[in-house]
Amino acid sequence: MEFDKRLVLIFLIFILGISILVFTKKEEDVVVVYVAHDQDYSEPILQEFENITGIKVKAMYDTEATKTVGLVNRLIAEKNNPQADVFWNNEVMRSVLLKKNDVLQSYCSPNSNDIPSIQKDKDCYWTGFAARARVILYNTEKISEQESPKSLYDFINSRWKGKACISNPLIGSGSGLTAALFASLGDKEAKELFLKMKENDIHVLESPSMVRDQVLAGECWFGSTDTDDAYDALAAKKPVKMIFPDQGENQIGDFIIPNSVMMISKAPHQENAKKLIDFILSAHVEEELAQSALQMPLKASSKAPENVPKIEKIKSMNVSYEEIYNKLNVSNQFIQETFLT
Amino acid sequence: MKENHFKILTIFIVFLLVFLPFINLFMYVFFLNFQLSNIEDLWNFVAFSLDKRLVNIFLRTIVIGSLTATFSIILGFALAYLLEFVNIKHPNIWRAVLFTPFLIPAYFFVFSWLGFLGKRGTFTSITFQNIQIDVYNPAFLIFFLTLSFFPIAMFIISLGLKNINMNLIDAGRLSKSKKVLKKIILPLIKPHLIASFFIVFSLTVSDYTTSSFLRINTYQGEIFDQLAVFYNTKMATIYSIPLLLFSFGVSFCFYYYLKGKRFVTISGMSRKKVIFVKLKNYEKVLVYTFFLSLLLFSLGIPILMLFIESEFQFSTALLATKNELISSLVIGGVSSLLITILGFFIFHFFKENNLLNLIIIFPLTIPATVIGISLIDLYSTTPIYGNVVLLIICYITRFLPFSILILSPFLTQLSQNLEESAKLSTGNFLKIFWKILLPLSKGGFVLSFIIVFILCLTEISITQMLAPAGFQTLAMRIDTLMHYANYSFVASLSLILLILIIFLYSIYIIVYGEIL
Amino acid sequence: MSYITLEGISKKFTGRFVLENVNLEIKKGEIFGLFGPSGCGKTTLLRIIAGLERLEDGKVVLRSKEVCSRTTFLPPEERNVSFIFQDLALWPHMTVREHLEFILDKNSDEIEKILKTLEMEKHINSLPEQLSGGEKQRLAIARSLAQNSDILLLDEPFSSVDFNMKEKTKEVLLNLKKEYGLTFVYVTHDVFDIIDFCDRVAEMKDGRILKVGKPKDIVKRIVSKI
Repeated sequence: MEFDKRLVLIFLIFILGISILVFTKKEEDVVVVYVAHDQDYSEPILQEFENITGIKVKAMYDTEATKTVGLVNRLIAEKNNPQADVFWNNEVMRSVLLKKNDVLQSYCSPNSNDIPSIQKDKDCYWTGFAARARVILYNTEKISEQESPKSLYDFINSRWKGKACISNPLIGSGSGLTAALFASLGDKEAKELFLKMKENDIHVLESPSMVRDQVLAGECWFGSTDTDDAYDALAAKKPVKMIFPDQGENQIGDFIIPNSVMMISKAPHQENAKKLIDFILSAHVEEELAQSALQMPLKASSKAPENVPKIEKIKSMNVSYEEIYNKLNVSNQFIQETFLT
Repeated sequence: MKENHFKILTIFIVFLLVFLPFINLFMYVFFLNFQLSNIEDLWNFVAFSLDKRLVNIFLRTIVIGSLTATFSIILGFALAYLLEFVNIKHPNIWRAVLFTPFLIPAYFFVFSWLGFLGKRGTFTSITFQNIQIDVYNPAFLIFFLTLSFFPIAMFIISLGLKNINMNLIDAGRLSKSKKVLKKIILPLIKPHLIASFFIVFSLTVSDYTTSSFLRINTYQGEIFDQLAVFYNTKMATIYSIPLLLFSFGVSFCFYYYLKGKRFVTISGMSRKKVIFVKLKNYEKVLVYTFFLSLLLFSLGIPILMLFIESEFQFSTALLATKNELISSLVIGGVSSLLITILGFFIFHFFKENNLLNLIIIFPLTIPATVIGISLIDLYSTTPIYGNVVLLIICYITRFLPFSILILSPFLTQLSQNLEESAKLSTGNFLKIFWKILLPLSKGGFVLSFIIVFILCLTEISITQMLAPAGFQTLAMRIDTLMHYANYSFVASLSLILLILIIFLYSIYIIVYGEIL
Repeated sequence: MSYITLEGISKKFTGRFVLENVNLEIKKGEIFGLFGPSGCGKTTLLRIIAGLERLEDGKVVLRSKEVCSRTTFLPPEERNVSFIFQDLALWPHMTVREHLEFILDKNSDEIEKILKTLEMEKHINSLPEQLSGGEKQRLAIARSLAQNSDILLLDEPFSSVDFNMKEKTKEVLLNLKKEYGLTFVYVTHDVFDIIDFCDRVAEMKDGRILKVGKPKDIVKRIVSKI
């Protein structure tokens, strides 16, 4: 064959290959899930679903800590050409955001019936499950139990100047906590709180995991992090202790962060999406997450190990997720102007 | 197929992959849905974005970029000069080794240096425990980025020095002038100095991961915040405009200043290495010490720290991430092959044209986030979206300039006559490319492939934005693990990646003996 | 009858005319010299004939066919002209055989014939770097012969060889010219070359033709100026 005909043939085969890659019809027995939850905990569950149902799971992982565009932006950008079927979020604020942006489709899973109404959307756009909470983790080699911090207001105590840290209040559960404080305390008091934290030389770290790490190392004496990060350190028998903050009678309560799962509007694989959502909202999965990530079950039918606190025993903030969501922009704006200069 | 057909195809691909995303971005901001945006809305956005805090961050970013570029040029020039004109031993080997830091992502440096200098760091523990070096400041950001980018400045300035007509220098020396460096050499390589400055500046301003690790808020961070915190793509795009305008402005000034002059040298003959600075032995020792110190800071300490942090979890880490490694290798391989071929054609067709400077500089000036946004907007409703093909397109947009830069010295070595003598007997450009041009410049092809492959392998920012569901690269995994504070895995994987990079680069040097 | 006609050829480089209104007629079978100092435009003119440069104005007619003008341009491979470059432009990675195979079919008998004509058979598998100066010249000639063209353009082909080698190569070229009926356009700045090699010569200066005539007349003119 002539020289250039050979090369043109190779080129055409290459283009054909690319076209097949691009235009191949989506496999029928597959479900695409975007996962904001920690990959180490979520991947085994998705794998289990795949093994049980035979439906191939294609997962896209994110981390709440990374300041990337993130899955939420991707979902919004893909609105007119959805790639994902299900979104497994590790908090609720962005779920509300997605609902407001018409990215979600209502689906009332039968497995959501025994989940408290406050932990799910009233129109079934998202459903909460397996919750974390924001906690204060402190280093027992630096702080005794008597003097240990018990409230977020301890972060502004001049005694602890330069010794406290928080995870980034602009992303993930950090931003949820910030917005929750704005909703609970009101804008003025919340702003004052954060301004005083800044004056008290609080360290702002990238993620709750980094807060845990710094507290363990003694570089921060205590910090605001999540239960699953705190439990990692406790399980490893490190010299730290964990406290659910603001549990007193006149105190605001703690910020509870359930996972949430939802179906994407015009999902390419609707039936498989429903099956996956039902599976994720099962008692079995909540028990798995309680076991592996020490996340607190919300379902009445779920049984958790003894070392996992019961959600009803924690005093939570008296605000709804919708109210918290409404404060998200205001709180983010304030944090950006205060801490990112 | 005739040369003109290839030229048209190349122009089309360059337009499609390099310029169209940005035209789309412009349209997205000002002509959404083909309607002129409400001017009042636009003005409100602009006014809002001109607040003092943002301006300060913008200026800080410009200053960090400028200082990094300045220090990189100083280092790069010193190294290029010493390796080109001074009587040191094995300059080619030194040059090859000194180029290696560029292949290592800047965030590797940060991660390993944080382990060295942090409060619990090795340096602190082996010196006095009370020494607390705060690395979370712009000075260290400049330091780390300079360590990462000085090799590219060295490379570009070397091109300039290699192509100086020695008679010009000799004429200065014969007149016993002590100003040869200032009055002859530096003016002759001014285009290369400016190109180096601009390229390093662009890379610095585009960097996000490194500054994020050091908790320094740069303008890129603000753009990211608009996306990741406020989910406001339009605002993120508007935030990009000052950076775009700044880059555009400098690109065009550069374009007009260099009109007639090229920093990508196109003289057909390269000259032999000429040594005219003869150092005494003790002076040579100083030079070697300088080289070794630079390598210690840019390679030695990072590699050592990665070893220490890894806790030798190599096999566990590798097994846990083998899918990501395979994905990275495949996507990197395909992308770098396409980029190298395209880079060749662009250089070949535009080498006589000042437009080449623009094609090289322009994509480098655009922040990675903006590239990501524009590609998402352009392709989100097409079958390409949610597919690895989009990732390949993005890598082409991002790394094409590097391929052109690397190929340029190899392609300029080719005498024009070699191609012309083939043209006289055949109009088949593919045949000329395959039988004449490619074999004669294969060293450049392979080097471009390797370096672009490494860049694709270690890219994070845009990959995270555009990778499809179920697809994860090794760099993405490292970044995720970093944020979950799984440092031993991060260090292990980083070392594996590093070893792969050094292995590939060494293979090239051994097989071809071609050194930068 | 003119075999190669150049009418009103003008060419600019960076705003400066390197050729200005050049008119020439070259007959079939003659050795036509272009003589002049360095930078007078001889090589540029040759390259325009070959199609390796475009012109600003004028036209080139080869074998009664217009090959380029302001509005037309026939690419080099379609003009059927051979070119021997000043630096010979041998492909360093190709053997002698591969040089010819690039132009002819691999199994062509023509390859053997050309190599035999130029006494290059024993170097058939040699790379250019393994050949002597004279052998390299013969390879360049062999390559031009392989194109089977009757017009050969030579750009100072003897500038880098010694006197003996030059004479030998000239002899080879003359024999080939006789055998294949070739027309040469030969660029040189060496006065002695034009005397013993060319049939007619055009003297050039600053991009213009000063005079066209027999070598003796041109040389007389030059000497009289000195």
